[in-house]
Amino acid sequence: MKKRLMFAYLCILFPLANYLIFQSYPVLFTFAISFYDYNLFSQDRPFIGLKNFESMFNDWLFWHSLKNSLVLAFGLVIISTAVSFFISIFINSLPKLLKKIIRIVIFIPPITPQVGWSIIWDSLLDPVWGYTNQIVGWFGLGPYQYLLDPRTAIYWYVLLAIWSSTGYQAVVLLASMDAIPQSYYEAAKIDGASSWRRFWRITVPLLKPTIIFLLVIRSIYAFRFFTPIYVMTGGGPGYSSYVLPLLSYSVAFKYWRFGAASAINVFLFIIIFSLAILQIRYVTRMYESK
Amino acid sequence: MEGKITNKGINRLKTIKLSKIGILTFQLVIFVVLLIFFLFPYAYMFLGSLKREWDVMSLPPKLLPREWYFGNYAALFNEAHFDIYTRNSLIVSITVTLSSLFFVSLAGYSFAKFKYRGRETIFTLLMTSLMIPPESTMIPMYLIMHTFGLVDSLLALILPSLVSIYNIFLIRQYALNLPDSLFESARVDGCSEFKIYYKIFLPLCAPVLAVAATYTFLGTWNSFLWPLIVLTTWEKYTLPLGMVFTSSFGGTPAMAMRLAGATYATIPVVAVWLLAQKYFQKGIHLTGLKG
Repeated sequence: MKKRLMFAYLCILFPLANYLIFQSYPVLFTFAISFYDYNLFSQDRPFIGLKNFESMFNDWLFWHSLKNSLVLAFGLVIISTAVSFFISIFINSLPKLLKKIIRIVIFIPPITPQVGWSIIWDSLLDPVWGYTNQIVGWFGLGPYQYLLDPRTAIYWYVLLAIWSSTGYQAVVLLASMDAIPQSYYEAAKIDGASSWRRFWRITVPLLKPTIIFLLVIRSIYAFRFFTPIYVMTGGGPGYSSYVLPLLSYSVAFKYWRFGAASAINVFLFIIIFSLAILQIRYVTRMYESK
Repeated sequence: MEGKITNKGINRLKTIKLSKIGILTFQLVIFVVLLIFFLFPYAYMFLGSLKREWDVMSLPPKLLPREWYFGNYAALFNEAHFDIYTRNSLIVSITVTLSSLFFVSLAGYSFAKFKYRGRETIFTLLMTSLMIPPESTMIPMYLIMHTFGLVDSLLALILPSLVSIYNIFLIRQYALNLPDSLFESARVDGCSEFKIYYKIFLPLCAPVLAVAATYTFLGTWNSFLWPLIVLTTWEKYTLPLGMVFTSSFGGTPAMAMRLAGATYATIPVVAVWLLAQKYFQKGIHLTGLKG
């Protein structure tokens, strides 16, 4: 018996240690140093209380980044979920072979490295050399500046985020649709319900937990959206496409002001962690409905 | 009226047939639109990688190369150090995946098949890490690496990722469905605990281990932010970093070469994932989870 117990504890020892060192300690430490003027290259690291948060909330770049992150979040969540919903319905109605193919195809953008497609789109959206202006030209639409226009840059990032994440959502929705027992539909058919009615009364309500789950993970994704912006415009032109994770990175690893950056990270952490709690709630609901 | 073939009846048949063809055409059109929308950038990437630099910068922009050129790929290795980046990425990804599989399967086994005090508490505690955004932990992690002199080392990339909590969850789910009798009878036969794990549990977990391995490998291979923070010299760069910082030999960004780099990094990922699809169907089905 004793040997068994020891073995069981030994098994979880390493993951637990890893968790404590690389997860819980860093989170606590981030909260802690947000109260200090912690600069990596200076010996003087005084405790300054809420000063970091004060200057953060007084910084126009913080609010600008927050606005951009929110634009990403709302744009992505609303449009991407709607689009993936319609796509999944469409795919569900396809004949088997087409269904198989398209399921794989739409899942390719989500699994390819973000740096990969960032480079591709960077080239495609170039106002002069990029092919996109050629294509829109066919429809008689003028050449656009895309990411080089400070007013529209962030909206093109929303489009890119949609492009790269819709596939995943559609596949999850399809899986949830597949999980609905055929017997429900058959019973409704016998009762004389039209396919429209069957859709609205059976499919949609049962998909609700999945949809909400997808809404939540999309919003988390939006607040963590960093790599494409860093790779393509670096937050520019100027600061027009700055988002919160990028701001945190710049402050921390360009200016080495860990205290100030940690304040931003605390802010981000609270938002994302709250969303993640929601996510867990809806994941469990999602599986209960299966 | 029944059984009589009327003009009205024939017309109705024609309308039904036409609308069926209409629907099919509509489906095909949307199908093709979706195909193009999601795959066009990759086609552009591949074709662009086969262009010369002046070709990418010529007006009007054309999709197909004006002159087919395979030299970009050679340049990736000869000039842009992609051999080193690939090596680094492989070292990190493979080490992380193998070690992760080992620790994760042990932990999943322990959580699913053993009873002990604090089991549920510890498991829930570990699960909370799934809600922690990695960005929030980067600064202290950097400081840890700084303290131990591990900044700008591959070890700094490997150590934090040795355990994947999500995979522990997957394995535990899967293991809960395995019959206890298998393990009990082995114990009665006098097998040591580790042997039971090694000879019975692991083989049984093959499908879910394949899923976990694929997730871990791809996640590590594609990871960008942490390597960006912790690596400072190009000799240590992993592939994603190398791709981004492959710029210019003379000031202007080498776009065709960058596209070649993107192709080089993207194709293996897609290939691995397509191959893993076989196991995904099996493994996911058995855990009752998806995605």
